[in-house]
Amino acid sequence: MPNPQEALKYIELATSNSGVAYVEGDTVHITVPPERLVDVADTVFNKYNCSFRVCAGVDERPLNGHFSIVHLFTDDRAGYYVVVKAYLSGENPVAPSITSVVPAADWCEMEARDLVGIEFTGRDVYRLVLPPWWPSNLHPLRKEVPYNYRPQPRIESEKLGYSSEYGVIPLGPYHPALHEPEYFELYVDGERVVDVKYRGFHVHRGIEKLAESRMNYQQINFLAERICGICGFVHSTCYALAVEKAAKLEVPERAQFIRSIVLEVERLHSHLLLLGVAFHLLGYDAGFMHVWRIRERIMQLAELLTGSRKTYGINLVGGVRRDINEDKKQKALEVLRELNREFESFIEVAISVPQVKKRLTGTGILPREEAIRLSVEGPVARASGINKDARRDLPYAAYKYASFKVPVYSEGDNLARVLVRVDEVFESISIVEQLLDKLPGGPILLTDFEIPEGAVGVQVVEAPRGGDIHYVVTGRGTLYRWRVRAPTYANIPALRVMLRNQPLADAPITIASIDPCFSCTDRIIVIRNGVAEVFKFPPMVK
Amino acid sequence: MSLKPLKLVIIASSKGRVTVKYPYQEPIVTQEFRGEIDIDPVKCIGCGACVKACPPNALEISESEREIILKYFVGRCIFCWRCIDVCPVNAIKGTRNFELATDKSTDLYTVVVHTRATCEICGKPVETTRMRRYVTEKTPVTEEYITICPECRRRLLAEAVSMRKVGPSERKE
Amino acid sequence: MNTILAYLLGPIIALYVTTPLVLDGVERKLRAMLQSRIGPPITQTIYDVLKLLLVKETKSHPTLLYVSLSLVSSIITGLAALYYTTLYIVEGNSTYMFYALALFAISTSTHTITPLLVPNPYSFIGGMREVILAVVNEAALITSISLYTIVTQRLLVESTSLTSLIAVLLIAIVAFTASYVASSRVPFDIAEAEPELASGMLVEFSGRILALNIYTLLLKRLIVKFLVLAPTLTLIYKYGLITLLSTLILIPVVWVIYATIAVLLGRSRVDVAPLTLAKIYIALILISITVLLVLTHA
Repeated sequence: MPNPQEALKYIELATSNSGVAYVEGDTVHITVPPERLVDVADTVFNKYNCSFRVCAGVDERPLNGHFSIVHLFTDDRAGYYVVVKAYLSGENPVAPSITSVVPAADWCEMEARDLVGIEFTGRDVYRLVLPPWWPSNLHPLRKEVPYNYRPQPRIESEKLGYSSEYGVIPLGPYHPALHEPEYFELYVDGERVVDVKYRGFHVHRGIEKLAESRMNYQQINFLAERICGICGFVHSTCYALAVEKAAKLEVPERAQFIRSIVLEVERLHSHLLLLGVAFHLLGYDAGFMHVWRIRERIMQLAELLTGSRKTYGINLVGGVRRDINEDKKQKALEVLRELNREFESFIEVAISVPQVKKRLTGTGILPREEAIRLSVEGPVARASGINKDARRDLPYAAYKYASFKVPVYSEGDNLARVLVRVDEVFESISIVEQLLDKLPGGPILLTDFEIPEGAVGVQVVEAPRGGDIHYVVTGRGTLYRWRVRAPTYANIPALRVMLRNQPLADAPITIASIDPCFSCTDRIIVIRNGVAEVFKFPPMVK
Repeated sequence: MSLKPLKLVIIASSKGRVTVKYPYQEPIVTQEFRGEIDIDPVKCIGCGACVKACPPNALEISESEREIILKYFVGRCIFCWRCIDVCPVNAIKGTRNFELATDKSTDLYTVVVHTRATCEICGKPVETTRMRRYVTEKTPVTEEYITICPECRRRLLAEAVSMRKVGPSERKE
Repeated sequence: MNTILAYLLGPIIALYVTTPLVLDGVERKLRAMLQSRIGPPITQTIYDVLKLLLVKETKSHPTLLYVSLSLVSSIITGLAALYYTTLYIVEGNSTYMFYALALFAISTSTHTITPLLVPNPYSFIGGMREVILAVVNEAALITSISLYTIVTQRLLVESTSLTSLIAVLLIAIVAFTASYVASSRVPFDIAEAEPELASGMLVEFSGRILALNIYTLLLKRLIVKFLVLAPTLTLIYKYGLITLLSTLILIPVVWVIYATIAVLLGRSRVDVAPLTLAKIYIALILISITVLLVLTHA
């Protein structure tokens, strides 16, 4: 539990700005009138040096006739979540933009504008998430829009801009170098990248609306797991922890330990995946093959512990569904010992290949000030000198029982990002060994509980790519609002800084070095009809 | 110019070929693996708990006048085994089978058909006959009223209460 | 011409036509073994090229006619270069070697301009990268092989001394390095294998044109090895059919060595590679020329 004295300054901040505040556990809730939002955000971000995570627009008209905008910060030094909320008019919601003081809030404000219909003053506005042909007064996350409504699409070109002086290289949406659809338009002068335009959200699946409309609490765990193929367990754990925090449930200790162990196993597989992909992009295919051969043992370990190589499906609100008995524990320890040995000897060989070293050093540099301004996450932040890790700053699950180092490098280039991940692999192995050793006895699932209505829970979990945040507001039998922000969402705007003035040949490895997970990034709003009648177009609901 | 990259040759030769020649060799599947489910049509009582718990709606219940039909579509199944967790009679069993590709779409559907019991007063179809038997076995006292549907029960109770309630003016001395 | 050679010429040319395909299969198998996989069978490249030759292109461009013309001319001049090198090995007339080098230069140039004929930004950038590398490398390759031929011929006639052997060694180093770079392998396959270029110079090719392109590439690999092995083996065995036989036997060995080096390294970058190479080549060639001049005057 964080020190209550640290929360006092937030309470003072709220009251001096004609607002109210209350502290619940490790979360400080501040509600201020909309005019004061910019000042409060400025103080919290720039004066108290909190990290900005995400903002969410909520349609609360059925509850109290208002819309609301919620900005989520975390005070990493004190260990507090700071939730800054403002209520907006129910007919015409307008909020002042905080991007002048918090540049990292750029994308999420535009997402709230697209999906909930909140207008922002004091900034340039553009369409971010919805495709260009979407009707302009249809805001999918509003409560009156059904989750399975589909407007007629229009097929058009992806082209974003035009230049007569520079060459235009399209990277995406379909490209052999990329694993998921995303579109980078690179403007090149010879071999040097002069500018980058990005358009994403091609795989937006409508997960938030789906969860709010037709799933109950326990089913959403499985939906959350499928937000991402590589870090799915992070999302499902984060959701479960957020709901448990909102409902104030006492989850058994053994379940928390199992969750932490599986989270670290997932981190191992994810980092090894990225290292393989990075070597492949550099032309060192032998490195790719061998790293993935080493990674195969982790996948088999995950199957042994959870029942599936990926999408583990063991999380429920209240605990976990599978236990780790003595036999599995011994097998896990053996796999980890072997992994440690093999990985250590292999990575030494791989990093010493002259082309690998040369191409990673000094390319794709992200300076520290830019990294702080954009509130980047995870290894991208740690490679630029920011000492930020949610496992240590905002301890959750069983991390307070393990001791581990957080690797920080200050160069900010591609090599630093790769080395941060290599160090984290060794730290993860050590964490799993410590937790397996200290595993307490007891039940693994809480069965008899009720989830009250109208409770708020915020949780950050450190995914392999950075801090993943879930914001839940509970409703009756299901969620009222669920906002997910995956770490790549915060890291992509940093690509613009990293790719500028770099040679074109370094573009793929720079993009890959932030370990982008685009299926995590695009997740909200609805277009798919879940049932088999494809050709029905219901009339638009006003 | 170090000679470390050459060490790769040593690593590769010590590991050999790791490819598993699936399908000519057995795939590496642990005992814990979750494959498709197997519904035992004899044990199933048609309660619908599995349908409630299934995240992607692979299990569906459809009702008609005489029957309640449980349908399992493997194409939508995510192999989470939540249905196995919640089934009250353990009618669903998990297997390790994942080789489900087929060229006949009917192979992907499993259907369990239950006959519906009727209310002995109004004749409307209610739950399955097996569910009635299951509930009576678990709680014998229900035998007295389980053949009557909830609406008729409510009506009978209201009539009984109205018959018992006698005002002071109507009390016979 | 030597009468035995005249009889064997047919089978030898047939061997030259098929060897690149078989040895590429060997290379892929070797790469798989070093990566702990099983890999495709050795005949895979033959299957691939044959299948592609039977498939029509998925999209046809107006420029495809010129592309196929340049590729076919590249193959024909390449085979002619091999023919003349064979003559040089058996009969010892260095003029044949110069004919071979000239034909090789034509063959590489027509192969290099092919991607520049295609109207696609990826293809164009890939082609330009190949041109940048070729400007440095082809010059060095041709210069060093010419010097190599002259010096080995002189060495066979006069007596060998230590200084002359050192000169030969330096030239041989340049020749073999340039031959490795010209064989389009990692770390120098920057024209077609860079991920951001979506297969660079091969992006618009499919079906028969792709088959021709792959074959041209593989034939080039054979030619550059043959060109550097020829003078080397004449040093040991003088001229004749035995030398030809030993060259043919050593080709797979050199191919395997080059393939192993390719697996162990990563890909270089287009602005880094040519500069580094240029520096090395100029230095070594200048030193060896100086040594030779000193020798002739001494």
